[in-house]
Amino acid sequence: MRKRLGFLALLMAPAFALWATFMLGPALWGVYISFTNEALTGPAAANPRFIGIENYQRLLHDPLFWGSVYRSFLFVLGSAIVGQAGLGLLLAVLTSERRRIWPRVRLTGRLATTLCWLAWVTPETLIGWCWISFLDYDGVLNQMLSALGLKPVYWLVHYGMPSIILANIWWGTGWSMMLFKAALESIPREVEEAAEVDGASPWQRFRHVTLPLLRRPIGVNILLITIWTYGVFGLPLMMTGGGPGHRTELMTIYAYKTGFKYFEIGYGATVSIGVLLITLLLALFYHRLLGREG
Amino acid sequence: MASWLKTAIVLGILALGAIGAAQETVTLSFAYPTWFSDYQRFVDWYIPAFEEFMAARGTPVKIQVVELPAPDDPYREAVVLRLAAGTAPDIFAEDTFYIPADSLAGYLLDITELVEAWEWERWVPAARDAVTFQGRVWGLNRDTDVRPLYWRKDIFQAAGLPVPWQPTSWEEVLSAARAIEARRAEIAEALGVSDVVPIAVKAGTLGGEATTMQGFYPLLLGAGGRLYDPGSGKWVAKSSALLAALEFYHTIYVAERLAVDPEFWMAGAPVDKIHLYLSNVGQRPGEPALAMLVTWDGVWYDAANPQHERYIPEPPGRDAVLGYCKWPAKEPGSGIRGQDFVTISGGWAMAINSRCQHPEIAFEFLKFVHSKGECLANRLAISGSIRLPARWDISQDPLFSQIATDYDIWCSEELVPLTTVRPGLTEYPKVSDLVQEATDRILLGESPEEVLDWYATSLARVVGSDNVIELP
Repeated sequence: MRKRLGFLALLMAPAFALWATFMLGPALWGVYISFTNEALTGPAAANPRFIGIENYQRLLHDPLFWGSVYRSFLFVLGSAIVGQAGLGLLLAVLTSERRRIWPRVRLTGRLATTLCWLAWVTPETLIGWCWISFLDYDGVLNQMLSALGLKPVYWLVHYGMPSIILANIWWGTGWSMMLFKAALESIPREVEEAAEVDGASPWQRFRHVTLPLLRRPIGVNILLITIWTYGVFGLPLMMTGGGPGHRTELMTIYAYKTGFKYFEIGYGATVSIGVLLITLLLALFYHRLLGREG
Repeated sequence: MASWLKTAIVLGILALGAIGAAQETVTLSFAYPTWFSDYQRFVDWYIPAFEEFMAARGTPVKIQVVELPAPDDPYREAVVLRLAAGTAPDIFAEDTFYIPADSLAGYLLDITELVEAWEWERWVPAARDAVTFQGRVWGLNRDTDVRPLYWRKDIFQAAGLPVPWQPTSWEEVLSAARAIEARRAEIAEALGVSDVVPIAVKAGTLGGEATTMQGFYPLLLGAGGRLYDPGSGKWVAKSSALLAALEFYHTIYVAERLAVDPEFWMAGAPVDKIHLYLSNVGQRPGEPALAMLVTWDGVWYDAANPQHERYIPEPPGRDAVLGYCKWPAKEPGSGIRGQDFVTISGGWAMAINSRCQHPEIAFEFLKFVHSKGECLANRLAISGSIRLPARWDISQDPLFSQIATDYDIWCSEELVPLTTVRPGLTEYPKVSDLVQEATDRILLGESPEEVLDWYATSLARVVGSDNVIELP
């Protein structure tokens, strides 16, 4: 047994070394510099000082940070929970081959599934460009509006939050849909058939039979996409850059700007740890919710 | 073997070794903004010529060009990250207003002794100040710049305004803008452009330093104000001049809408775009033309350079359509130092990385690029590349007066005496970010008073509440 453990450790060593070098090391360094005034330029770059919890006190009283926390919350609620999970569930049910919501479901359902999945596997930067060329002032949407005789709108400026929420729903729904579809197909047919025999309407069957059986996959999915969505960075950064002003500045964008635009890398690390703590808190909350039901 | 032969062989080997050692090539990395008009001249001429020159002197050098992102803000981010990581180029160009922060960070080589042993006494005082911090020299500059107000003769004529034109107050600027506004559609149709924009002042965080330097500063100085009060040694949180500058933004963007839409500054690359509007005489029929803009003095040369996107094609050609004049104070005499007109100077310098292994060789490159002969040759090769020379021996050279145009002479005689510089302090870049955000807030509809309150609070947070002052 001991020998096997040693062998296992040997096999895992390269992976662990990589993980320690590129994940654990920088993470620990991030925790360390969050207690310093380390900067990328200016006097603090030459002589960084240990300043205790000063950065954390600043974080607690930083209106820009709390503003970004609020915007991230809206972004997660709108794009992940309502958008991706809600729309994903709807699409999963609509395209479910067992349920045949509409007659030609096989073809349209598969087409819809493929398209959603395609969006999900497309790289973030490409999605960003697509949405910019769609919503930009000279973009496709405004050209369509002009063709209809309507006035063009500065979508990304006046509707920044809705724009990035919509783009993120478009990007991520494929994942939730696939996950829910798999879960739907795994529900034993007999349960639903029994309800049907008992005279339950389709809505009643869905509400009282299917949905309770899906509760756990839904919970796990919401946990996953919440964590991911709090971390989404490239797409909103490309589309609005956090602007105009701070109106679309999510927590990740604020952390990035603090570190790499204002070059306050120490405080930037503190902001990142703030982001981490908030995400962790949410994960714990979901975990307890799920645990109680299981 | 005869002992003389042994000796000869040993000596021969030693000699070969010595030659080998002497000819070991030193490699220096070098970064220069790729969007500058003389970037290509570095690649095609300076670097090969310098390498040949050094090889002939027996110290072979290879200069390796590092291409960094463009324009200003991404370039700055790339430089700072490399400096912090210790992987920055040995020699690099940087905007002079970053020198205080970077020298305190220990990133820059102190070249005071090197320049003093060379031709430092030939630099004009303003150029020296731009690269000096705490009494030490941290870089070398070839030129400095000024900011005129550019205006479109063709649009002015069409609006029935006088040509030539030199406004003496903001009110005159605004009334010209209103006259153009009144006949906007008509003039646009005559010019064959989509719209005519009467005036623009650079704004918004996307504009970066251009917003502060070429938008906000001309207004602030024209109202007699500064961002930093040298008398008290504090940053100005509130003053009537700050308010007046914000009010001007509010007037043209929100109250009277004499400018581009406020949203113009909040997406894409607005600074590039506004210059294209200024030079649009119908070659881009889908885009507007702009009638007035304060911007840096190099725009004039770009407008006559067929390779440049800001080129104004012939006919009519640059000289027929583009006018230039001084930016007026709010009212005559209300500018800084009681001036009637104001402008501001900046410019870039070339610095040596403090980690550079061969500082003397790096400085040889700086000497090569900044020598009088090379600066003159550069000015001959690229029109406007040395605008306002940092070296007085160039401005006084008979050759320079031959190649200087009326515009060059106007800039140095009319604007240089009026000019000033940004505060050479480490906090300046952060204060500049606040100024940019303040203009953003005006564009988003906040009142000048609200924005000034926000600015005062934010400034106290950024520089410390002990370091701010409120002026009347």
